[in-house]
Amino acid sequence: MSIRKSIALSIIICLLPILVFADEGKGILEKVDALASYTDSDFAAQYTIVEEKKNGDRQKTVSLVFRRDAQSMYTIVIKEPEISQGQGYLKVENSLWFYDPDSRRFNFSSAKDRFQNTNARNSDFTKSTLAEDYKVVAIEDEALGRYQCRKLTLEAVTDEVAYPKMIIWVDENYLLRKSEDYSLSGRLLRVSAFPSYTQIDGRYVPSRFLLQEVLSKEKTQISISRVSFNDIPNSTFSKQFLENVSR
Amino acid sequence: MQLQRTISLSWNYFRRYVNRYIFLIIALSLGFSIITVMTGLSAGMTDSVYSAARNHYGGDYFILGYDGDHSKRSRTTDPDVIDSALKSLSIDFERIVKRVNYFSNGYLYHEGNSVRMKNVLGIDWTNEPDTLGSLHIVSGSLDDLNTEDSIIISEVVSQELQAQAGDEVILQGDTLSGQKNTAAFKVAAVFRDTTVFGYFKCFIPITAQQSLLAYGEDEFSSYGLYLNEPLSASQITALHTALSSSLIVEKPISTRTAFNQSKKGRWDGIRYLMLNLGTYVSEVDDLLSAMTIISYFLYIMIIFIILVSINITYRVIIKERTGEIGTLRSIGMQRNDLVSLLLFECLWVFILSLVLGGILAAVILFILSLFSWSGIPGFEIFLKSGKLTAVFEGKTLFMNVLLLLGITMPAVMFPSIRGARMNLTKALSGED
Repeated sequence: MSIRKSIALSIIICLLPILVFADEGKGILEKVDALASYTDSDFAAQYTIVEEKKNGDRQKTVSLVFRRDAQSMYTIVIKEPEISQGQGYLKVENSLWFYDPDSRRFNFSSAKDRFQNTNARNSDFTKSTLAEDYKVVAIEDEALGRYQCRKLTLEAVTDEVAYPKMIIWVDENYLLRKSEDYSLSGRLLRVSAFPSYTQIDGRYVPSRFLLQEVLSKEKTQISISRVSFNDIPNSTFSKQFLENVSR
Repeated sequence: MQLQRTISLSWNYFRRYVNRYIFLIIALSLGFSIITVMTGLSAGMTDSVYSAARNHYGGDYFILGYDGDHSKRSRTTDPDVIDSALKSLSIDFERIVKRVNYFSNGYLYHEGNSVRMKNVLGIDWTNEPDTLGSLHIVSGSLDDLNTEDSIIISEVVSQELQAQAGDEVILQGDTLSGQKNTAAFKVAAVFRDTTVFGYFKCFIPITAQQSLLAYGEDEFSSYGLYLNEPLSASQITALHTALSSSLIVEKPISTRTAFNQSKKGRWDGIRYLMLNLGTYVSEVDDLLSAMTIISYFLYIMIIFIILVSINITYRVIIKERTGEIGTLRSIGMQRNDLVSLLLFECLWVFILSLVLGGILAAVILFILSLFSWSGIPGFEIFLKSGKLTAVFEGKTLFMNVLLLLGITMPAVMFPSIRGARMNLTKALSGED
């Protein structure tokens, strides 16, 4: 065997595991996305966000979420607290709008922005796009409590996502159980845990998930209730809808 | 010689009748002191606002870039174009200050405590001695600032974070594309700034800010010019023309409303704005203008009171001196000379009142400066280290003196003329 062939073979042997788990990783991410997204029907639910501040204060935000993942559209209407009642978000095409009924104006927002000044991001309410936004750079097996998980280290392939680095734990059913979100400099910023899912109409919906901001040590619990996969009128995904519900 | 004699005689009469003028002197002194205090404080407050704003925004005139492709982030990517445009014009500037500023999306953390910052200013330590020198340092020191991880935080931030000089804090921000990024800093010093600019503010090295926000080495958010003389309209036009040849530059902006308006809508690439410090503080300027209008309303009230007081007092004085006026007329003094004599007497009253009013104003301002006024909500911006300070401009003082002279002389003129024209027989008999 010539030296050139030996070098080429060595490179292939070295790259093979990377290519294999990159491919395997992408497959896992696609399955995770598929379970967390509802592209075959509309989705509606009530999200209750309870934030626990460091000083012991609790802040509750209740919102109605309407999603049409097949078209990457969603509408969110704030029900509580009273001061924010009628505010809302509308995502159509590539634009995310925030509506304020006091000023009756729509302003541009970003999926990366905080949701209603809570520790949740606007992106926490939308369909999962992990396979699109990240590449897998490492995979290992790790037990997470009673779940045997695959631990995937992810790096963003686009700068459009809020967290450039993530580590996620996926169980045997490809349900996301935990994620760690890192800053560009590699500092751990947020830990999310998904302890329980409920099955509705054959689809998995997290009944609650927990977020912990590592730097501020604030904890947030998001509960999902009143889930429906029935068709949602097209008019729900419009600015007029947000204007009407706030009246 | 006649004038000298009249002045000398008026001085003698003034000294003799000074007791009769006491009420007039008190009224004029009070009026002058009030006007002096009000104009001095008004100028002092304006100076405080501009001085604080100058250090906060980093200059007197600004060239700002807004990146339409990155959420309209404040970003200039053409330093060579701007530098060469500035060099080509005969602008008398002290220095150029380039900063990378980050506003309401910066968060500082320390041991679980967090503060949402309003101003994270990335500055070049060596190029901004005035900015650093103007800080009222309450703990730590500015002696060992480094270009990597030194941070200077305001006292409010220090209290919220419970972080002291020497502690490590984490700054979180969003890169140009919106990704989360963090950097660790060591608190070098804590400064006290009770103005509206000082709350939730910190200074970090410009290179650290560029790295945090993923800006290039030659990318800044603002160009500030420290000017020796304000830019003239023709200089602004020339600068606009020079920049417009290579960059997209909006027409020079002069109001806050226009500034806010210019950032609305959508655009591609970087759009540049030109504005002066007054535009940034135009809302405060409006408040100062309103205060000035109120001051002038009070001036008018005071002037009216003084005018009436002088007129009444002087008529009484003239009436009391009717017999004496008759005597002077009977020994040959002409009516015009008599009017001049009476007016010169008033001039002495006026000069004495100015001196006493000036002293009274100084005492009032000294007393006012002893107290801290920072407890009044929203008033901090007008104070220097929590205290009211007065600024006296020659032009304003001259106008105040002229104004008072302008109301005193007409007020005494008419009773004087009337007294001098009095029928000699009646005057000698002491009748009015």
